[in-house]
Amino acid sequence: MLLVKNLHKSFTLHMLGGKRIEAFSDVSFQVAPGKAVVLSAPSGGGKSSVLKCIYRTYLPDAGVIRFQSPSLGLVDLASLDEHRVLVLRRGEIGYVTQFLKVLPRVSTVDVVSEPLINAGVDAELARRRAVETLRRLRIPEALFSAYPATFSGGEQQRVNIARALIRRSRLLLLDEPTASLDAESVGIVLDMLQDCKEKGTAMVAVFHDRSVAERIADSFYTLRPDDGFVRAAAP
Amino acid sequence: MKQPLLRVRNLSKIFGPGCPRCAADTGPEAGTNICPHCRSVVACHDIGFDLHTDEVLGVVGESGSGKSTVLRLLHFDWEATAGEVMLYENGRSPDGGGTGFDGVNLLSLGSYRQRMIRNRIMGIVFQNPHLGLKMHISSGGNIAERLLAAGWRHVGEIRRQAGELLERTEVPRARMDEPPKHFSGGMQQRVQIAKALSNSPAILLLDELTTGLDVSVQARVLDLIRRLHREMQVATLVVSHDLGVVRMLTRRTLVMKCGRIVEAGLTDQILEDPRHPYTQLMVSSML
Repeated sequence: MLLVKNLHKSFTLHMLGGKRIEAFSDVSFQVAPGKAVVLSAPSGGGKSSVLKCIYRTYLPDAGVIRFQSPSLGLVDLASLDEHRVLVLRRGEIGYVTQFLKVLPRVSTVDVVSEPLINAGVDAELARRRAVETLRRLRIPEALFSAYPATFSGGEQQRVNIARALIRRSRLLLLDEPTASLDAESVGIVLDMLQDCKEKGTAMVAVFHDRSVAERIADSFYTLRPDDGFVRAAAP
Repeated sequence: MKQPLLRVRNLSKIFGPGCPRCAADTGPEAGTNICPHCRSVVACHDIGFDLHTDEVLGVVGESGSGKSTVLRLLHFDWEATAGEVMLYENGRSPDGGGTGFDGVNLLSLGSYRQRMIRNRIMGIVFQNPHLGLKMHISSGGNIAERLLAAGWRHVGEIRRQAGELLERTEVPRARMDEPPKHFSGGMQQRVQIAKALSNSPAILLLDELTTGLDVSVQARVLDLIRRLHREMQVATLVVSHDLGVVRMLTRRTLVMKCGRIVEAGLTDQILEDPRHPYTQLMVSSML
């Protein structure tokens, strides 16, 4: 479903006299429907950057990101035009960022239901689904109408997960989705991710905690900052 | 994939006599938009983008980058030196909210037809409310004027529509008979927004609409625009020097400098992976 081949990303910092920073180079892996690939590398090894390239928050320098989309057919996310990227983000590709970045003055329920409403679901139904998802993630009811900007790290992270999991994605990108959660919450999130996998969602994930990663991964892919990559190995 | 609503290509505006070297010797590399040979101002050159029916597109850049010029050209306030603005109405008939100019270069039309198109499918909000409103006539009257231009004739209906619009933009209906000169800056902007939306436009043009307002008022106006976009699904062009505004309202952004588009992309990409030196400078200058 997703094939990443020879992907390369660097940054040129014009304010520092054109200094180049390599994020990663020669990254290649693939993910099948219902499977999860976990990226591993030391901190700063470019794991999040790979996810951002797939979501197109970063523009890759070279390589292909082939994605089989039911609505658009086989596309290369590395060079797809922006309108089509937005179509995929709206309906097929979900992303749990490391930190919740939401607009100010939007309530938790509205933050979580927004992706469903954007996908064309009736607002009332979307809000009901948002409430169900938040309950499943044990967000206290009192917070449903509050603004997530004021929440604790763990609460924000669960809101972020609720927002990504409220609709079905063909491809889910997960950047440290459990980093600030307690053991019980981690279990709930992993159960929800397992459900997604069983329904055919493919995942590319980054986990800080290897033991958590092993509970969801079908394979690991190791990025090496110096000389490219080490091929995927079964856990 | 849907057709865009507007397709803009090679749009240029030169103030002054212009010469064959104007385009080559101005722009971001030259660091100026004044032609060194004939002293003409190349306000914008070779501007191209698509605007889709359900999207909010941002245009950012510093003062003098030409971003407002682009908007004024689209609104037919100024005559473009060159370029095309194609309108695609997806088969909508003139009775169904269309203009009858599907697939036509709007810049090639005469001023009467341009005015008709503007009245029927465009709304604009200026940074300076004095440009968008008559300050001494009532707020309701400002809106009524626009409804009359769009073909409304029944006084009772015009009044009811004006009241509803003001309520939607959070201006108390009780104050619709007062002139905008009595209102605060934020409230004047909301009257302007009500007026811009009164003809249910297909295209909304916003020129620095929160610049000069204090932060809490700014936040309310931005929230209002977000809500209205959700409710009305109007294609919107947001011109602003403020990346925060663009981040809040848009999914795609064009970055302009010295009359040129130097970078175009998804708004999150522009903010997190800016490529052009000017975009990098702008992002790193964000508060």
